Amino acid sequence: MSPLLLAAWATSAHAADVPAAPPSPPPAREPLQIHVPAELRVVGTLPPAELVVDSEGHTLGQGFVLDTRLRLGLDAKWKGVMARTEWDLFDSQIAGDGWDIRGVEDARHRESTDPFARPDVFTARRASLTGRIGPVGLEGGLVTSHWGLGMLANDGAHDPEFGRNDFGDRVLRLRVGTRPWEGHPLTIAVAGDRVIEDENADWSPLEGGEAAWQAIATVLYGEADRSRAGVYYVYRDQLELDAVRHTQAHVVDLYGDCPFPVGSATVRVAAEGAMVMGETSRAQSYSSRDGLTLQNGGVTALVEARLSPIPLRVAVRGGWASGDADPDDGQSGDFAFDRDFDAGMVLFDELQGALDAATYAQLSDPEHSGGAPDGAEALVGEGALRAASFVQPVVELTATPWLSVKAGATVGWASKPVQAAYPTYRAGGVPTNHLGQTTSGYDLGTELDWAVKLGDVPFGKGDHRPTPALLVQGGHLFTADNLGGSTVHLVSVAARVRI
Amino acid sequence: MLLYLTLACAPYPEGLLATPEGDGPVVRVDWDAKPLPDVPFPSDLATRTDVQSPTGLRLNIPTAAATRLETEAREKMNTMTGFGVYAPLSVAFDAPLDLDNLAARHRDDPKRGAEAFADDAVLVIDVTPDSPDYGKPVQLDLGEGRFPMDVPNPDRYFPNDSRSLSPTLVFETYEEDTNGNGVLDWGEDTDNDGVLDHPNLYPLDGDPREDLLTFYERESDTLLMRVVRPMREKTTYAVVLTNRLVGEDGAPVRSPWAYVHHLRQTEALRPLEQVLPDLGLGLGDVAFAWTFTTGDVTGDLRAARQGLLGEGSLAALDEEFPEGITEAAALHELTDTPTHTLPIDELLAALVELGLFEGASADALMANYGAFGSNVVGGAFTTPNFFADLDGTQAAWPAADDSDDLWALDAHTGSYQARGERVIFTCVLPKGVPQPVPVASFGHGYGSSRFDFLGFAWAFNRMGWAACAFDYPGHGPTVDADLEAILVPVLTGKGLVSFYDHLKDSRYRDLDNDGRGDSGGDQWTADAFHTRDMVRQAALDHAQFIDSAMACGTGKMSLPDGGTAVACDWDGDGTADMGGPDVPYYTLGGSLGGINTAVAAAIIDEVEAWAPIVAGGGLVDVAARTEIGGAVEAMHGRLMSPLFVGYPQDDGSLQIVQVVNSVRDMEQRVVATVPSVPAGGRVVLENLDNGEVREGFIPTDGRFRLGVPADAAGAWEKAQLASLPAEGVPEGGPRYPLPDTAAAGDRLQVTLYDADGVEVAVVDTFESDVLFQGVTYEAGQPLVALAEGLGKIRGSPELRRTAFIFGAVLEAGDPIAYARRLTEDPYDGTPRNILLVPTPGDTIVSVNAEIALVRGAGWLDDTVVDERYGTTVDRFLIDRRVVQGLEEHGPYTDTNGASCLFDADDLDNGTDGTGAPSDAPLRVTVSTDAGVSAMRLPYVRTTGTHGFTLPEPDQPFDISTFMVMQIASYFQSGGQTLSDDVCLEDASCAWIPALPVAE
Repeated sequence: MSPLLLAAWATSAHAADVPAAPPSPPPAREPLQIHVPAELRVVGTLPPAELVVDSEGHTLGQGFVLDTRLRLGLDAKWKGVMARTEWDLFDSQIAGDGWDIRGVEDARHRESTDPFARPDVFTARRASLTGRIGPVGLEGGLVTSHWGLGMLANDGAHDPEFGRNDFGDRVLRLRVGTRPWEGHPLTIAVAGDRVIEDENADWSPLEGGEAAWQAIATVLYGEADRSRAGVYYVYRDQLELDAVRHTQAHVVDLYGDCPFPVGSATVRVAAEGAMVMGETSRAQSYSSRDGLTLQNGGVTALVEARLSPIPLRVAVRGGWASGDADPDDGQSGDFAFDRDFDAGMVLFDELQGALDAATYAQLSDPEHSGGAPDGAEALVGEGALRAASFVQPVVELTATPWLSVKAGATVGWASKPVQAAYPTYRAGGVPTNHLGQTTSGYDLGTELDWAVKLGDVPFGKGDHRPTPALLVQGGHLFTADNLGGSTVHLVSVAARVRI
Repeated sequence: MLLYLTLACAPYPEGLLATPEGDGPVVRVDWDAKPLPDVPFPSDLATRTDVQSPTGLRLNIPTAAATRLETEAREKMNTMTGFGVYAPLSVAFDAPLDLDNLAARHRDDPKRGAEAFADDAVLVIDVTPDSPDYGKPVQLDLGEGRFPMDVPNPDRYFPNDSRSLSPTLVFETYEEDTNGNGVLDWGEDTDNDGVLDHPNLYPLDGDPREDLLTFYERESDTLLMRVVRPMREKTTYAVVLTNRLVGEDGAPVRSPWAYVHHLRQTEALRPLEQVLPDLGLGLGDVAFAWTFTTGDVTGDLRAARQGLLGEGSLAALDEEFPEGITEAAALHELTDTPTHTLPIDELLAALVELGLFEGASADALMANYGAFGSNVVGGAFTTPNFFADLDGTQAAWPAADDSDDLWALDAHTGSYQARGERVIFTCVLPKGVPQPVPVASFGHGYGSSRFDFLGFAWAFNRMGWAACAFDYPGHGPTVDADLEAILVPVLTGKGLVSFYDHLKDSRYRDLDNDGRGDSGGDQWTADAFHTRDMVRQAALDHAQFIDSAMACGTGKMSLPDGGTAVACDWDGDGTADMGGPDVPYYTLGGSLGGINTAVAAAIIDEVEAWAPIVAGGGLVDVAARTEIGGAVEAMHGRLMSPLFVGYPQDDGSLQIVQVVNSVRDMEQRVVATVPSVPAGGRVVLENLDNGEVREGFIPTDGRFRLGVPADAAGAWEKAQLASLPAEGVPEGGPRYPLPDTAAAGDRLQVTLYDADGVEVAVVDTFESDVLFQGVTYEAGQPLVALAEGLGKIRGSPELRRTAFIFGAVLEAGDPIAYARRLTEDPYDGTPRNILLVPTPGDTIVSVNAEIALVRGAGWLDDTVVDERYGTTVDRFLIDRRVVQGLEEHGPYTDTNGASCLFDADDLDNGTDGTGAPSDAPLRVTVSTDAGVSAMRLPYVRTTGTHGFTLPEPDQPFDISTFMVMQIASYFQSGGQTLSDDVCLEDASCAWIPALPVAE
């Protein structure tokens, strides 16, 4: 019978980009400047095809798969006005196996290796104009959104510690920013967004979709690559496709980043924390059928040391996202990090992402139900860290400019009883994992990751030199009993050329 | 942030009570059971939340099923906003219960009123905090007799029925273990269900009819509970299995889960902490509990009605479909009177000549119409027809198949789809009274037409009122070709062909491609949603007719000669002849009309008094017992078919025949012949498209029967596939072969094996041409299902479950769901004045359902002992077998020594000459703030009838005249008084205008 609705509305805040420092006055006869950044990425991945993803014994089913992405941009600057555009082209799996989790709107469209099956195989990431009028900087158009450590708003353009990024929050934005006191690194900006795509909304002018609007205000003190701290506030109003279910949420995010030298080393301490409050009828619960109160939050922190002269980097990352143990009350307490915020590469990205998708598949399987509950689509988190916490120590040795090796571990815990919605529902509501086993405690497992990077230095001569790189990564997850107590391996090889 | 940190790990959830140790029967929860999960039902576990639902819930039933038919039914179910208010409750266990304990606590419990719950094993409690009945238990019936499940005619359910002597459709009554070894031996499975069946009787060796076990299904160890009265809508109830409910070893039943309930329902069940002590219980006494929420069953129809008045969420209906009589019909070709007014005596004379009325009845009609009737008039109004296809398209036959449509209306969101449908009506106007006259409208029976009203209109003419009737959706006059050949010349000679055309100007369609209208062909079918909405549409049509009649005198209506007149001014004097805003309105109906008017009564505020005759409440209970022709075929026939049966032939061969439903009939078509009967062998029926396989035993005489779920094109779709002409194909008409039979139905294969297991025949093509629904399946083409069906087996748990679910679906078109709205909790706060008229021994609507409606209205007290009978009124009707209503199985005899029914109301005061047993007349009458409402049980025949018909002045007591005059008198009083004076029998009462004294 009917599976349980459990999905909390996992709000991700959407940051405004930090306004850039006011540009210098343009020269009297500034020539038109053109820049064409490009990145071609080809990734071969060997996921754990035999990974059991649900209590019915379905497996991930995805063996080796090859995917591509060409990220191509065009920047033009003239008389202080910058026009920028950026596209993801041929962003698709092109060979290998699709996964067997059926009936899921996975944003990576892992169910298919048809290069054109993915509707967003060509994706516009940016088409914007930036300029200034007096002390006021202006930006308008399609932009990607990023804030702080990328916990809430993430543009998908930052290399993760391990793993990969695939998405990027995109918005139509009108932004106004200024530094009210000359010489003082305080930046204030306000912006209005129409969300094109993020974890919770997907809209296009041609095809429609969820109508999500955001009002953003940011205050940031400091400069890039120096100590800085900021706060932003987002008010989000979202109307679902049915034009009935509605969300109004307030998000407050605090971010601080402080690099400082310690002897010959450079130490960086950074942290970000966010709270989400509001109401939504995007999802409901049995005890609160009109909607839910949003009350959740998360924190992440990073301590990093770059040693010298030994080219060694040591870092410890951690994070916590609140969890909601009772999916049937009137509150949504699950917090989700942005799906491009990577903590490890297997536990959350691969395993949890697959289990979430499989849960959604079970909830919407006509063999089980007439349809997934409202909001259940939010379960498909594309590997986002949700209702969990992690600690990730990393050591990286850059042996030569073209060779680095990196190793790390990720230890994960759930912030709520470990449970998969469908089997938990079938078990009378007692927390039960995806394998149908009753759980106890909060352990999720430990993951060992490694990476070897070759290249990534400019090749040849000239201003537009290609920068090829080969990145080989592996992740080995030892799941806790709560997740079946098995071992999950993932290996990927990525070839990348940047220009 | 500190708050977050303190909540870093949310704790594991806990329920109200952990399941204690024990070894009693465990509540069965099998989510993977087919065709549907086996869980306590109804349960909110089978719902999902939906902010657009008035309850916040929608049903959530798996939609994967063997047939498109069932998948679509489930998709429609998933639009429901909660569960039924009257549907049965069930919970299954993994081991048998102690039935003696259960019977003692419930069935045989002599306590009444609040005390009756004192030692109950099962309780259903209202746990909705803002409900008027919060904390109160609901009265349950566990085999107490309110819901008999025996049928009057066991051998009614299609050929080669191995259960043709079983007194019930719903339960097993046969013992298959003929050798008593406890094992299903070859040949013992006579119903081919794969189960070694045992009789569902209590006690086990009891009589199949008298001791039929209706509150427990032994085969599935399922407890079956019925609520005595409909529950409240949009209300959450808790079903509490106490630890008094025990298995055969005395151990209490147990939860299948860690807690005695599903954790999803913790908060919904929390009120039990507060209310159980009032029942002498505590949480520790709960062995298992769950909740379910009743849907907004009646809300859409009420909102639609209010919308016609320009009120509420559907107020746009008023503007889109304005009320009004917009045309006058041509009724004759006579020259001395306008074509739109037909003198009633002209019509009556023709009808008597045609033999449609005869004998003393005809004399009575002629006398009354002659004295009090003037003209027959007709016209049309426009009603909003809400039927739309599953995909939302709205088109009427023959542009599209609308026989499987359902209402596209959601009052909660204010959305609807509707097309204007022209509805024809006919009236007989009274003679010699000031105009405009009051209006009594009449609802006809199933498969019939508005023409029925001539049998009753005279009584209302006699009171000085117009009597009117319109056809219900899908209905019209059924005149076969032979009768038509006689009818038309006679009517032509009398200048009345226009009247015949007026009657045929109706709402029926040709549903089987034979070129003739099939009245009521899609009224009662296995498509529960369509059936439900046929009732709702009819009820709304009543509203639109009343509104249109109230608009008489305003606006114009077109005349047959091309002119116009003031609406309802047929006599051309410039003012309306009937209706308008200032006259009273009355409504009655019989059979289908009774059901429709019982529903209409709840939603229409503007009628002074109502009289639904033989209106049943709990349509699933009607379906379980009715023997009415047409509906049994369209409902049970489609549930059980397509069937394949074997017919031995004189030459020793065996014909294999496919039996399917077509509109109101079961049709049989020979698909193959095998040279000999493989007696003792095996027959395998396989649906090659959906993979469903059924196997069965071939008895010595070869008369096997096997059904399989299958999809097939409907008649309309077949017509498209074979390019039939829009007017259909009359019998003997041209052949229209199907290019591809596989496009018209699931491919089937029948394989026969002899007793040694040797394959003797494989039938996967048609042996010879088969004509069905106007199209030809040619010899040699793949064998396919001729019509869709679910292939259920009589007496199987699956059929029972399906029926119970259908019952919940039907409720929005079931009078029982509206019963509380009649006098107890009327929508507008004003109790209806309504006279409900069950007739003893009714086997068409089933008298138990007719009485159930009265009980549902709250008029049959079961809490106070009536001194006249020494028991409660409710119990009195059960004990006297009035509820069961099958005289041949009862204890009573008439003066001739023949079996007869009990005459509970004795309206004839013992003068009917039957000698029927009576007690103090029951005559249930309820006084309300608005007048009186009542139930009367006219005893028409000692063996029972379905309503009453024409006057029978030659009977010792003319109960038919009594009843129609009682209703007319009740109406005349505006529903303020109800007379049982025997003067009604010949209409000699002082308040009734007298017939002229014959010269």
